[in-house]
Amino acid sequence: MRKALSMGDTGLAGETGRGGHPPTAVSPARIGLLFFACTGLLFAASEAQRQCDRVTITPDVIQMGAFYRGASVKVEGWAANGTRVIITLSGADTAERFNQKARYGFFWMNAGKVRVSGAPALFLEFSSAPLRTLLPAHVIAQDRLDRSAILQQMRIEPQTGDGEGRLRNSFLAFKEAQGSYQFVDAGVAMAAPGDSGTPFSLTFSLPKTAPPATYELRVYEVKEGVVTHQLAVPLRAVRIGLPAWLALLNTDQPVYYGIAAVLTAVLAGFGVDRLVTTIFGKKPRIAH
Amino acid sequence: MWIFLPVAGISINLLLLVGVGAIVGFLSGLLGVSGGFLMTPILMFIGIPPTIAAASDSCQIVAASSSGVAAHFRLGNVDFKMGFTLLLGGLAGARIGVQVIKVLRVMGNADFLITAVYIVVLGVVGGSMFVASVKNLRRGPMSVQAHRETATWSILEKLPFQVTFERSNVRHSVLVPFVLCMIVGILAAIMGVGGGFMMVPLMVYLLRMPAHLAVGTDLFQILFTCAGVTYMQATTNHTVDLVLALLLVAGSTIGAQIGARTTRFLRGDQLLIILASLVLVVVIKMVIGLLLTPSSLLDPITKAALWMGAGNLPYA
Repeated sequence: MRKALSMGDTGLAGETGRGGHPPTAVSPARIGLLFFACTGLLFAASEAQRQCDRVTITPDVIQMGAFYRGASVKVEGWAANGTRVIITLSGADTAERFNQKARYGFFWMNAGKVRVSGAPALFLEFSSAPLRTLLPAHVIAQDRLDRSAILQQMRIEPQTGDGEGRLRNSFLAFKEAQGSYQFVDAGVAMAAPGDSGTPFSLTFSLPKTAPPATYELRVYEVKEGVVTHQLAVPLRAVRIGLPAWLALLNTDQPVYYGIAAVLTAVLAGFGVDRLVTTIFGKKPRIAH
Repeated sequence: MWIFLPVAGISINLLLLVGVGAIVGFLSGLLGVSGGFLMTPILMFIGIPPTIAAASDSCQIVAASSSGVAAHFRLGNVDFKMGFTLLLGGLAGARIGVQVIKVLRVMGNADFLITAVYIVVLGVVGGSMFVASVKNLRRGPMSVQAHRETATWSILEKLPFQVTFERSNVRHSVLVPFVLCMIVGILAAIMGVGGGFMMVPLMVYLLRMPAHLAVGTDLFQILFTCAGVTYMQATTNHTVDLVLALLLVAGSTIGAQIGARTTRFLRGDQLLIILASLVLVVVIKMVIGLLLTPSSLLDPITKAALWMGAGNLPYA
């Protein structure tokens, strides 16, 4: 496709080609191919635009400045009449390492490290009715929409046999306590149906512990246990201003960052000492 | 008021961080401990990722100990000659300790040993310090200075490289503080925590330094070790959050000043009793943690493992 759109290849560059070669004749087959390619692209673009028009996210980019304190995100859109809506926000799957606790005699101690993977870094799920009433279990599991689906798809290495179920539950509990996993039935509000569909809206807070990343907001329209339509929209959370500059310095210039961190800390320490001495005066020495 | 931490990538209450820094800084200035064994778990509890908490804590200790050292220096509580000797011994010990822990991990019983060493060392140090300080407090104000001459001390006094540490008003072979600090460094590396709570009693009881001088001198060597750890964490793991560290610094430097000034109102024995109580509370908490069924079978990986992984010196 890229080749077909290349101006050099199609001979649309002008009278002379590269290196002074004579202009190439354009075959009808190539023109036809180009036409279909362009039509396909236009159709795909208009479909994407139509899908995006159905859902509005405010703000479309979350800006994390120096005084960022979490963000309230509003999702609004139109669903087909007679359908219900499920909305999820998920982060990329990550691998996290933990100490695994086990009992030896009377004592609970760390029994080595485990790696938990195959679970999203962030997962928020909201629906307009209890999830189990909207979709059958196999669809929920397939689309990883609830706790048990996440538990099922999570991987724990090394495999620990009988205790693995407890480890999976511990991980889920850890993420829920962190605020990184939320499951809210009836969080999506649906208004009265109109001629062009049923308006829905959801307002949620991006957890304060959610790091900068590109998250995926997914809207499912469901009817009679079937997903009739779904749409995925990226939601970016980006650092801006001083935090962005410091984060860049930390990764791109670690030596300067390290020196700056030490010097800043030392100067801050002596600066406060100077300040306190100026305010409260010097104290006499202790006779040892 | 909330603030966004650029490296941790999360938002957190500014006053909470300053308050945490102030409490730990106060203990640092008062007792000569780095406070790392308190700060990192508190930061994790309030939602900072473990890797960022451990590394940024080192950075704030640099500031708190700078402030504490300056205050103690003016009070005449820093023995630089002793401080540098201890520093060298501590660094050597930490390096050896890292190798020891690597061998133990290969053997597969490192976690058990770490836990056992932790409880035994903290329990013995805290318990003996508490008992000795209470006894001294009952005897009278100058009792800490009164040391009995024992056969062990006669041997130590015959060791080569005898040096007078004028500020502390003691004379030792340079090998004695060096080896003592090296042993503490090895234990600190195995336990993955700072050596402050072990160093101060050793300086008082074995090196015969006055308690106030032990606190100031310990802070002096902590300043250097933590500066090294901060630099290595920033360049190796990229986990130092400068904004987080500076907010903790805002609290800890002021806390350290107040702590250092509070030492004037307390006798050496009283300082040691406070430190011993703190150590014993940590031991009791650990023992309870060993006996009670945990709410979660997964525990975030913290300081010790991170430092081992990075190959950095865990002595701070």
